[in-house]
Amino acid sequence: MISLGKYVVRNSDMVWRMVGNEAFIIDKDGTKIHQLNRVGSEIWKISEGNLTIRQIIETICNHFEITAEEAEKDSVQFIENMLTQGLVTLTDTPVPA
Amino acid sequence: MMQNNRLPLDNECRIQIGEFCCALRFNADAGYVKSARDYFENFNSEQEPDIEVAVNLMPHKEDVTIPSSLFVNKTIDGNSFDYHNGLLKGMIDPRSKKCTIEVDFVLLGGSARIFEQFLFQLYYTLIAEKYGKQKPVRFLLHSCSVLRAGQGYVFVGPSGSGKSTIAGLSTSFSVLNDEMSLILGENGIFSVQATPFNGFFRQKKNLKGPLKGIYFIKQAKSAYVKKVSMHDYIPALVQEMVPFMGILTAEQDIPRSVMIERALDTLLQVPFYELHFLPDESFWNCIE
Repeated sequence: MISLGKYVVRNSDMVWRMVGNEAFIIDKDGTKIHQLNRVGSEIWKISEGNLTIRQIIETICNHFEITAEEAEKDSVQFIENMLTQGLVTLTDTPVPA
Repeated sequence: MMQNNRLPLDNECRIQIGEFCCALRFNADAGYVKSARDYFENFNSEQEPDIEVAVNLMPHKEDVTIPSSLFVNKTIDGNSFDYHNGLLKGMIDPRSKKCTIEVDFVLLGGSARIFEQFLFQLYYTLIAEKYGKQKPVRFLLHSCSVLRAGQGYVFVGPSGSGKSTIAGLSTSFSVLNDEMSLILGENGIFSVQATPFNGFFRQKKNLKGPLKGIYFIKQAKSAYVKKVSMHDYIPALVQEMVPFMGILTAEQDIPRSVMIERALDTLLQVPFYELHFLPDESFWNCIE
């Protein structure tokens, strides 16, 4: 279980675009494409390295008007998935802008 | 671009490549100028040049093999460049609009298609000089392009996939090029423009039009159009883009991430399909 105090930062090698509310993310080789749903896209957008997972959960909870439990479950699962795919990394301290 | 008060010199061939006018000035037999103007027929320009390239022809060395690519084996030193150990070398200063090259004369004859790769890089050099960090959507794409009823259709595929076949089957419309097209995007609106490349294909029309669709082509036993996903075709589009390499860009510095961005931007805005076609005109019915 990942620590909710970790900061989430996008992998800067990825190319991405928002189309409406959905994010399209492509790896640096241009061979793998990820299309995120609305919740995932919002998490992706705000993963700039200045928010902890706990803060991201709170943002998602407010943004989508879902319960805190649902927000935590969805967000943690999604971030773990992104970690596995190399789309994000976790840091102990905020990443400077 | 303002009308030029100075018409092309007798030893000069001015070529329109996209929005630019490139002047090749030959320090050689007048026959080379005539051949160049003939090769780039329909793209000869009288505009003020955006770059003047002084072309000095060198005798061919018998032990030198003409390569298939000018995107590899290039050395750069400041403003100087050298392709394949002296096959084509020179200096360029885009700011002063001057370039000088020494080139094996074989590259300007039967190997003109290889020399064109230098012009691709010249085009990207001019784009970088004009737009700096803005990085507009402008890229050369291995493709056949056709204007039909004022709409542009681009047919993409690797060598041998049938681009020339499609061009040959489309001459009742305006074929922009059978091999190389210019894709432009401004504020989400995309267009396709003719290029002067592959001068051996004589039916080119120097036109530009809004881009209606991109078709990834496959020769088949029946003609049909299939909607496909971006997952398979971003890589395919990137594969057919001419690398964003200026003359003074080393191979390892090609901005691949920018190429991927452009491919993504294009396919997000322009409808794209897989086109299976027979060697006849029936594919146009499928497209419509």
